[in-house]
Amino acid sequence: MDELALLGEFRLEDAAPNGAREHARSRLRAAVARHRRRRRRELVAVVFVAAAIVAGAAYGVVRELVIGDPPPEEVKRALARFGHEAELIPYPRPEDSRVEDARVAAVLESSVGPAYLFSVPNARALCGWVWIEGQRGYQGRPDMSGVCGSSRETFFAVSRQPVDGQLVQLLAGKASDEVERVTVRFGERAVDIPLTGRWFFAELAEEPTALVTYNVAGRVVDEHEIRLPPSQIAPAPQPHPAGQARKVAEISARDSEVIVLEVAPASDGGYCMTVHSDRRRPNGGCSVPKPRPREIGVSAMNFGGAPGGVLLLVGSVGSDIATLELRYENGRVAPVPLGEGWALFEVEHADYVEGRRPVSLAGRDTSGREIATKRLPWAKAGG
Amino acid sequence: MRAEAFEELFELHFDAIYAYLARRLGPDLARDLASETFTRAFAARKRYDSRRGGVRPWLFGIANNLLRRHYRDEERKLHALTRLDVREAGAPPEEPRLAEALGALSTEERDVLLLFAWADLEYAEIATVLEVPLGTVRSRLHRARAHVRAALEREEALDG
Repeated sequence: MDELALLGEFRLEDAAPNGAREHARSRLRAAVARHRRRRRRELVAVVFVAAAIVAGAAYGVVRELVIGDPPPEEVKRALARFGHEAELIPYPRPEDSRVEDARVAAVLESSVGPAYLFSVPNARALCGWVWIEGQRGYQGRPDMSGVCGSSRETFFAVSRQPVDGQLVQLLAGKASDEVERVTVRFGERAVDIPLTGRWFFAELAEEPTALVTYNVAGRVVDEHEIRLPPSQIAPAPQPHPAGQARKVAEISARDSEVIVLEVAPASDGGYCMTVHSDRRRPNGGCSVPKPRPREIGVSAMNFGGAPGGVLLLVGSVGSDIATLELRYENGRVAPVPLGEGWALFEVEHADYVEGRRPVSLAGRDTSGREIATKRLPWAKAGG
Repeated sequence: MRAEAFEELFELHFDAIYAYLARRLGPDLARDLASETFTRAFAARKRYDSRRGGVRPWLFGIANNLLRRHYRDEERKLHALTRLDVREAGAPPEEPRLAEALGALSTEERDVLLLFAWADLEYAEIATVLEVPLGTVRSRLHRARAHVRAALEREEALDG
């Protein structure tokens, strides 16, 4: 028996032509073109080498990831922080990333270095997160952008990120099962975007106008208009302060941190609300509606972020509510002081743990009758 | 190696690399890994040392390193083939047995055997690809062939 002859006939499955050569050639040509551009810039770049080495040493150089690899640890940590792990009282949410199931879905040699598209499922959808290797944002964490959709539909996003003074425009998305070909239109011109599995990932040098997908028969499956970047669209009017801000509450929180709540009338008829202290960046906004007479408009605010932040209950109550109280898992009840209908209350650090957490707010009228309740988000989740 | 020369090298060797990967992992993964093989080779072309062997084993070395991360995929596919109904699939009757025998090899033995049988590499080239001594290639190949042959003969005897 000639086992080598038998092996010669053996195949796992047919190696059907799938545009592999064209796909590889286009990736290689992109790499060659980048190499040529880089060589032209080499002379100028020399003076920056020392700084680059310092930066590289500080952040560590990221590995060579290939499709199917799990993301680097720092990316996993960043993905986890987009979910409940960034909360002072963490509770599971459907949109939490299933980080352990995250994988590299596509790799791109962009004009500013390697870029990765990670496929990250959550309880509701599948998401694609894009990271240009080495790019970092708030607190040095990986600067990432994401798009989510159903596994049955085509979904995508175009992200625009300034890198070294250059605006990098990346298209990332996933095609539905029936899609055979994805094209991006630039006005009258159309360019095919290769599929990596079901994912597509490309750098766009011009402004795209539409994304069109086709089935195996060449028929259009769907067509999505790509809108102009925000810089070219007249911004929608945003609510803004329409009067002088005034202080409505002040507390002395742990470590004697003085925290102040200021409110101002907003242009949309609601309120602008700002919480500030001398130790942290202010937090708040101008989309705070006035609560109805029997409504509790007080919400949890993670002031300063986990893990060192302060958990506050901030907002106002409707005009029929005279007193407000906070109820805890262990049966305790604490009054929440109101000033002109506004509340600013610190949840003690010791009460962040399960078994002691606050779970709901209750409002009473002047006769002491309970007329409104509101469950806090971690209690709503059953957590 | 100049960038222009590298494009010629791609045209010469792509089919062999892709075919090898496709036979081991199927066309979808092969498409990505073959492409990745050449972009990595381009990035590392200055480190290519012609004294250590030709271009072909160098490229197969990169491809095989990428393939290592997918041994489990390969084993899953082999395992699925062991349950193949050959009459229904119109496949050669020994295909499930061969799949089982390949799946039972160690990954080192399987690499040597398939680089020899499917990539048509010489012993010395396989040694370069896997960065092992020539003697190791010979012994692994001998063991792998003996194992596959024994598995096929055993099954033949059972079939009666």
